[in-house]
Amino acid sequence: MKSQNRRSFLKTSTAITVAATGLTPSTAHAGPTNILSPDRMGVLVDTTVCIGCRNCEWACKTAHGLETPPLDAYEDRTPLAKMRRPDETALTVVNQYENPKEPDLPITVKVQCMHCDHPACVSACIVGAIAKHANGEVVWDTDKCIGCRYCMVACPFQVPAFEYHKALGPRIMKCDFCSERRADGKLPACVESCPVEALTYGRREDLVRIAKERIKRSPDRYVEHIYGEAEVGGTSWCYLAGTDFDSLQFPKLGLNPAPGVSESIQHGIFAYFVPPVSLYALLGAVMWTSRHRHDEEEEQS
Amino acid sequence: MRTLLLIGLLCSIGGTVRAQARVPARAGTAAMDCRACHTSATPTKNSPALAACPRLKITGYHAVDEAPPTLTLGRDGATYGAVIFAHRAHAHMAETGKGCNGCHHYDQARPIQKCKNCHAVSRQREDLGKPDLKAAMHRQCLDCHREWNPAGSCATCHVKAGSAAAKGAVAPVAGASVAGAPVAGASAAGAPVAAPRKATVVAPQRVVYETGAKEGKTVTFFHADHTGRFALACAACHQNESCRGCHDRKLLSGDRTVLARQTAKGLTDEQAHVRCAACHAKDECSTCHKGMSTKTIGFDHGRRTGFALNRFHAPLTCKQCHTAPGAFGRINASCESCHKGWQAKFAHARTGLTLDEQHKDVECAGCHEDKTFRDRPVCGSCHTDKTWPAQKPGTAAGRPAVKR
Repeated sequence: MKSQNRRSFLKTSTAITVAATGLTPSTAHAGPTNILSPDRMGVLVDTTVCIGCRNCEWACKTAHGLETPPLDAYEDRTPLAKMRRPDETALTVVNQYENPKEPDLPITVKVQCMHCDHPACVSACIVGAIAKHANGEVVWDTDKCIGCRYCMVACPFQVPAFEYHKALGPRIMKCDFCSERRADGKLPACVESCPVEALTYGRREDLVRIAKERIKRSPDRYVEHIYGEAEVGGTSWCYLAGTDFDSLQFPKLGLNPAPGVSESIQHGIFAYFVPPVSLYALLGAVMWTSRHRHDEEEEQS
Repeated sequence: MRTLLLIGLLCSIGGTVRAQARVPARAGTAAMDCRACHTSATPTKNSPALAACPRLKITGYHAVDEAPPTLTLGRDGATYGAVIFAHRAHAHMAETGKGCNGCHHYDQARPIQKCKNCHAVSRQREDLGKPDLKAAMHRQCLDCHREWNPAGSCATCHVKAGSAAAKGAVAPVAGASVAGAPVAGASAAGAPVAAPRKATVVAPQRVVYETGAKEGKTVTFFHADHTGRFALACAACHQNESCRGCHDRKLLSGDRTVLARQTAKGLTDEQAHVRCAACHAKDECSTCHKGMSTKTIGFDHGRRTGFALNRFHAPLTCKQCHTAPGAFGRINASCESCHKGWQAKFAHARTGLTLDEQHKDVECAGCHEDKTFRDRPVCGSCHTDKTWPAQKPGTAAGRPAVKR
């Protein structure tokens, strides 16, 4: 009776496993979306054009309902003297660096979420609260988030911020590529506000082509590198600069997608449920042989 | 009546024929001739060999003084108002630089276009290759204004909404008053000028140029004298220069009297001197080139030109021989080119050979073949068999016969 039970259990479990294996492809797609459309949009940031007016900071805060002083207060350039990071109060910030070519005209660099093509935050999120959409944006879903902040750890650019001061309903705060504005057919707020169009919004493919054209046309103006074209597998936001990207504090990252290694290990372990099934099969075999031995021992005694 | 009709018909045909015949000729001048823009017959993408703007010649476009005095750029926004741009004042400044083309770019040969003919009004557009209208205008201004006024703010050009100026009391005119440029444009437009922002150019007292030439390595140019005492307009000398030539803050140190700069390389002597030569054609080189003595600056005139400056030539100034204005090209090295008619009063006995009766009527060139008088002829140079007078010099060797 007992052995019968065990056998039936094994049978059922095998059936379940087979059923689960059959389901695997569909369950894999049910995870966080990461659709890389050839028409995905992006922004090309030309740091040689940026004048550091910080209108983008103001526009971003206004568009996202964050607290901000009036626009003319941004004429004060003193905040540029301090190095800043995007946080829960400012989804984008402009930093200032010394310009080796023109000491009087410092280089200013806008920082925000890069909207990676293979986002580490999406990979790290255990509840699928962050997703990469076909239009290029990497967005966060307040209803799914459990506040584990794995995304903050995973991000190679250290962009996501968390509302620590909020006891109830704290949010992960990061640039959402003006998801709502773009759905309404508008430009991202920062792009719209830039007086010199240092930010060019368009299809990522087109932007990379335009960036290459600019480098080709003015080789003295640019270093021959489009940051984000290939870094961590490509990002929707790409940068042009007149000086080495290291000196502008762009992290030196490899060309492989950031979640590549962890995902390959994790997904490898659970691929098509083969390792669990094998493990169960092995355990089953051990039990089967040991049960036999037990019977023999009983008979001998 | 019939005859009249016939004549009329013929005339009209004639007119048509003439008109048709004229079309290609007109098309030839109105449509673009490559040479209107390209100086070279084989321009390439990298070196297009562009000529100065032919717009004025081709279209008969207006002179700078007929340029619109002010323009209103952009429109009033929530925080900042439109810019009243002192167009004519900028056009005057541009005379020292790239002229109208400095701003009205990429479209040199046609009449001046509106910016929005090329630059899209909306930022959401098909062609992302060139900036939209707002960006194009901002970049156009900021390219210069950031360099010489890094502390400038939006309100430098824009009227702030809600300010006194925005309510119509006074409207600042961007760049209305510029050192040396007339401000008539601003008042002509009827726009009151409030606290004009000066693009002050602090001219240097004197500029010391390092020249690429071996002779006269340094040239001291007394800039203040030229602009002050001689009242030369900026554009009299400054042509085809960038704004930074004058507006670069690094060069704007009025107290410093010495600014060392390299003159443009690859210029011929004539090109390098053309500006100064207009007034200084007759002046000595040493007026500008200090220490022009060839010995002190290490220019070996003998080795470089084949004409050594020895003894009597040593103390001469360059201009005494090189008389062409601004040029130091090779001059005729024969003595006669400078020393005209000297033979008449030359005491030949000084050379050691007294010209006796037989020799005194001989042409100089009869003995001094090379006309440089450098090598002393000896008897054997002329008298080949040394048996004079059996064979007179010159006749055997085909020389002109000696006059008697």
